[in-house]
Amino acid sequence: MEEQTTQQNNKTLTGVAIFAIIAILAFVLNNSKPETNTLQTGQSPQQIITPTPSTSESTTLVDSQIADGVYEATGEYTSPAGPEVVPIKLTLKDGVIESIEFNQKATNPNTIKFQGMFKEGYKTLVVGKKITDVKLDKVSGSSLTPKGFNDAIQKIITQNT
Amino acid sequence: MNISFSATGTLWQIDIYDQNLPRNTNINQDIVDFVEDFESNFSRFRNTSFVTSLAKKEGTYSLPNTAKKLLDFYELLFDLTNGLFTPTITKSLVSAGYDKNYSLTPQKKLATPDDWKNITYNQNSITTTTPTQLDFGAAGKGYLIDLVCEFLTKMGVENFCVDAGGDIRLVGNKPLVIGLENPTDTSSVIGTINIQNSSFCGSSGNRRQWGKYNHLLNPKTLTSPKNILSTWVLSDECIIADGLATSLFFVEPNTLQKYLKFEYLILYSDFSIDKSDNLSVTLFN
Repeated sequence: MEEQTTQQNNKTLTGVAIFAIIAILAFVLNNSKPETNTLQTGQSPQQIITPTPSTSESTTLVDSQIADGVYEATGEYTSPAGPEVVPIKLTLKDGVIESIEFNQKATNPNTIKFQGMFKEGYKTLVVGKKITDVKLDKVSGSSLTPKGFNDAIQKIITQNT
Repeated sequence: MNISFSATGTLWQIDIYDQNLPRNTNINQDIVDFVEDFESNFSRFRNTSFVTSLAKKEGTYSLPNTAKKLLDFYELLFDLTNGLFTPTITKSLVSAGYDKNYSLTPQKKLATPDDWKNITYNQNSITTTTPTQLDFGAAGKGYLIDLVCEFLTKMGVENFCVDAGGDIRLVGNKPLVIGLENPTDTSSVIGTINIQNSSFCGSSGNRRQWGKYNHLLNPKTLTSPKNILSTWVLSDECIIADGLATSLFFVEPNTLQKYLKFEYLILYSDFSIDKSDNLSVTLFN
């Protein structure tokens, strides 16, 4: 595995490049799972932050010829609160992003909030759908409770209100 | 044909899909009796059970022939989880209020579990050096489901489903779609899974919770886990699916995957999930 640091080959990614990578990351994550896995991921992570690119340098983004390895980069952008950094470490294997680590280094409260929202965006979050809207044979969760237990709970609720 | 009854603290539903049933016209009663027999032997709430004998007095007590496999499995999970999964959690659970009267009134300081190493056993008997309180709630129901499935198979039934309060084993060629209950709103599901010829168990603290405790209790911290809301496990045997669904509240899946074959889904308190690579599931988001 190669370690490439920003110093080594002068590939400082601009803020714009970072978020383009994230968009590609989302695309890759949605399409890289094997067929047996029917997990449906949700929306790709939203680009919450709108950076002002500090240079007009155009950089080649994800190149399918990029070698396997661990890549570290620091995106820099200017938020309304001032300059911010986004350090990212990602692992590439066979042209696919295997893992990504995002270390939040912000101190400005809004930046912390927006970067936090971004970080949450690439965890799969689920929501409930009404049972009446889904075709089911059975439901699995905790075991249904017997009347004795339900009565005991009711007694506690009554005692405490 | 459907057989429904209450047992082991929950509702059992057995669906038989075979068109031609075996000539035994008493399947219904035979199954109910079979389950009742198991419960009378293994439940800590029954005076007839060896569990109750062990809790009262040191000594040696006879075991039903079905006991060894269950005890061996508890021994395995105890070792794999470093004691976080233990049949001796009883004392702590009872002090938290989960006693036979469901007082649900915790003591200020919870009792620590008895020592599992007080117990030795073989195929026929079990010995304790000092009164020791055991509970087989974590994997006992799954094991009983496996035994009921064996019983039905021996009777000649080929396609059926045994569902004990949401712990399920499906035998034969009929697939089922199972909803994954949303523990914070039981009128909804967070996803679905298609199963065939497998066991599938879910575990959550939502239905049995009172104050700051639920029936899942960490024996070392004496607190109930809050970071995980629900777990589901898919495996061939129901004893495994049931036992692991509880274990996953206390240990990482990879500590168990080296020794047991299973797939899993974990729902965290922030509604994020973790699942095994080969679990085929539909999630709503």
